[in-house]
Order: sequence, then structure tokens, then C-alpha cells
Amino acid sequence: MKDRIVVTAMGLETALGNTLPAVWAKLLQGQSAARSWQDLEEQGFRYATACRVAHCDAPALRRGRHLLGHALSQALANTTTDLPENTGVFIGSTMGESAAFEAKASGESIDVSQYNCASFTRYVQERLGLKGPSFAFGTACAAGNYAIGYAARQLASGKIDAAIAGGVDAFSRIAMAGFSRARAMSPVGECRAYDAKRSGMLLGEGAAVLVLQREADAKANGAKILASIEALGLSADAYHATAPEPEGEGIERAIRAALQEAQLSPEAIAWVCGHGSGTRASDLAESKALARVFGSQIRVAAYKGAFGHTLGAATAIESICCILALQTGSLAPSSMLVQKDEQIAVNVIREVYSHQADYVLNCGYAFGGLNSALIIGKA
Amino acid sequence: MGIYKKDIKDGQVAECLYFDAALPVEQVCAYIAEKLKENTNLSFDEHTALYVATNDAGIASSVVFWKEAITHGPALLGPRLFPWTLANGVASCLSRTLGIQGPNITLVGEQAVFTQLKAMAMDDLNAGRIKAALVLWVGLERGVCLWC
Repeated sequence: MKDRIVVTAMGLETALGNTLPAVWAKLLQGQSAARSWQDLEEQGFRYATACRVAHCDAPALRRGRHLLGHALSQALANTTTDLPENTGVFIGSTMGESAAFEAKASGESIDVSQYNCASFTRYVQERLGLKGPSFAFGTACAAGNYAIGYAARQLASGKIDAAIAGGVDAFSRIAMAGFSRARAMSPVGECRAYDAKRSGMLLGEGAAVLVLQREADAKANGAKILASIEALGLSADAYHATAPEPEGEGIERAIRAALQEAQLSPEAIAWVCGHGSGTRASDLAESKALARVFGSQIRVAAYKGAFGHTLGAATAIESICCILALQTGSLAPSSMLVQKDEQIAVNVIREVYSHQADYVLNCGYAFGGLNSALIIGKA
Repeated sequence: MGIYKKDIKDGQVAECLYFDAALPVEQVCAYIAEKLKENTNLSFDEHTALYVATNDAGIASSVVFWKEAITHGPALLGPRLFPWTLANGVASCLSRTLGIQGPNITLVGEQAVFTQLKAMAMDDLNAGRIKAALVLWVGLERGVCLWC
């Protein structure tokens, strides 16, 4: 029988909060970390609202490492067993430490190769003295799901005995300018996924880390089991550099691939943590795909209105949200929703929904047409 | 620009294409796509996965993009380069150009990552998740290698 892959510890750092209880309480209350930033106004950005971690005293060039370090420390504090030397490290990031690339563009002499997203996996390995394989996923805004899903696959194959998986992205001025100029950013400074008046995304920053083990090992070591990682489904739109395929066919393929791998029917999924970037095209394509796979009554919530779009960290943070919901039996409402768009053909959650779920789906997509769907099971 | 072929240890043929580092990534993508069409008999569809290992990770484009921001201001710079600042720029471009709709994976690191990706591809093939895999090393200073 296939050994289940389970999550035994987790930690995060976000603009909404930096402890699991604080973040969960704010999500249940529908709070958002969005605020206007004077420095962005002064630097001439078109929009100055974002979700940034306040009072972060990290050096600018290592802000991502700092965020990741906090999430890692928090996860390790909740780990009851020592990690084996062959623990694998799986971290996703969209931009790497992009402040270093900005500094290089400004004429500073800097070895930029030390600041790509592999710098995050190196950091984790060196800090913990790990000698297992490391995987730095440069799969943009779906990278957290990739990292968690491939960590589970490597564990299932027996190549490693534990995994640290997650995602990180520090606030990036390159991303802020790029998404603004790509017309993806909300001009009113609100990310209202699936809402009739949604106008785009908000940029955020953060990190999330999960510790994964095989269930038998976790039980033998007395570890607390928080959830299981059941399957990862992936696909590509092969459609456009920045726009999603409008019918969500690629998203549907990723979801069906995950269901097939988990050997679950669509009815087994209690609800979906949606990508919900708040852009008109992406939310609509996602809802079409979800409705085709699950029917229009499927419950959906998205949290980028609370955290901002944390890019490579997003699906890792949202995986933690899924696990907190599974643990508490409460699904937090979709952030910032006021009036659902009539074209969004799924049941977007407006208020806390109490339900003891067995399986949930965490969806995340990325520029370039990457689609990911991660199935997470209860402990 | 030259093309070199060599055997790799499992007997498969890796094709390595060497580029001028100054060549825009967009052109590199187009050239790789052309060579793939010419030299492989794979069907590019939803059952084929694309695995790209790279040490560039969009950094070269990020630096150029931000130089433009410094010159013109972040509110006025052209958006064309932005997708290339992301590490998955080459992989997503190749999926579009070739119509590859299966899993699309980019790993960042030095050339050892190429070996890791081949192992990942074999695992995905053996598990029946995909029917074919294209694995590439894209290091703009050093070239591109293909394994399929």
C-alpha cells in the first residue's frame, strides 16, 4: 500500500501576520494587509498600494532570505524530531532576490548569480547542515505548489526521508513595475477576487515552509500529523506570455491530472482554495474550469486580497491556509468579496463556512500559462 | 552560433546549442524551438512535459528591465521585457511556440540541475504522468543542451 505523505510542521511570514494563529484569525475576520506606501509614491510607481511586511529590518538584498528564515524557524520550532541529513529542500520563487538585480542595474558591482532562487535552497541547506538534494523551482506564481508536490513525490519514491518545502518572494520593485505595466495591477488598490468590480491584483511578499515526511516515519518519530499531500497536477496553456487561456482548459487539465493521480472523484473535493488573482480574465477562466470539473456549487475561496499576491510564496501560504481550514473545520471567507460577478459560475464563500472536509484543492497559476493543482487531505 | 552533439552516460544523445550571451532571450527561445522541431520526432501536446534547467533565471532581463525603469521611471517603462524577467520565461515561450501543454517545469541552479531534471522526467514518465519529456539546460553564457 502506498505510504501517505504528511505535513508535520509549518510556518509562515506574511504582511497579514507572522504566526499561524494570528494569520488565521485575520483571515476568518476578512482582514487585508493592503495599505498605501509613501516610498512607492515618491519613487514614481503608478500604484502605491501593496501588502508588505512592516518593520522588516533585513538588508534589502537579502529580504527574501530573511522572510524565508522566519518561516523556517517557525516550522522547526513546531518539529518534534530532528531532520535526517538526507532531507530534501524544495523552494519556489518567482523573482529571487530581485533587489540585487535592481542594484546591478544601478551600477553596483554585484555577483547576481548569488541572488537567484537557488540562493534560497542553499541557505536552508547550509543553515541546517542538510546534505540531501535541493530543488529551486522557478515556476513563477505557482512555484509553491510545485515545490510541495515534488517534495511529496521524492518522499514517496524513497529518495529522501524528509523534506522542507515552500515558497518565498520578497517585495520586488521589478515585479511592481512589471505587473503595473502589464495592466494586471488593481488601480484602486484592492484585490477582490471573483467580485463584479474586481480590477486586478495587489503585490505582496512573504514566505511559507512545510515539513513533509512519510506517514509511517512521522508516526514512528512521534510527530504530529497536520495534513496529507495527496497529488499534484500540472499543465501549460501554451497560449500567451501573460494572459490566461480564456476557457480555462489548461487549468481543467491540471485539476483532472491531480484527481487522477490521487484516485479521487471530483465529489471528494470539499472546496477549492482558488488562485483568485483578482484580474478579470484569470478569475473568469478559473471559474469556468472549476465549474466544468466540480459543478457550479463547488465552494471556492481565495486569499490574495488578504496577503497580496506573494508570487512564488503564494501557493505555499495558501496550502497552509488549506491545512488550517482542514484542522479547524472552518473555511475562511474569500477575501474582499463584496458582490460576486454573475459570470463567475462557482459558489464563492462570503462568510465562514463550517465543514469537516476530507480533501481540498489548492490551485495556483502563473504568467506564461503554468497551471498547478495540489490536493491536500486531512490528517 | 554552433551545434554540438555528444553522448551522455545513459546512451541518449544530448544536443548542445551555443549562443552569444548578448542574444535576446526571445530569439534564443525561437531558435531552440526551431531546432527541436527539426531534430525530434516527438508530438508536442498535453502528454509531453517540458523541463528546463537554467542558471539565468530571468536575471539578465531583470537587470535590463530595471535599467529602463531607472531611465524612464517605473510608471513609463515598456512592459515587453517583463515576462522575460521571470525564471520560467524560456520554458513558457517554448511551450507556446511548440504547443506543449503538459507539465512545464523550470529548475534554477548550476548544470548539475540538468541531471536532477532528467531524473525527475524519468520518474514522471515511469509513473505514467506523461508520455514524453523534453529536458533542456539553458545557460545563456554557456549554451543549451537537450535530452529527450
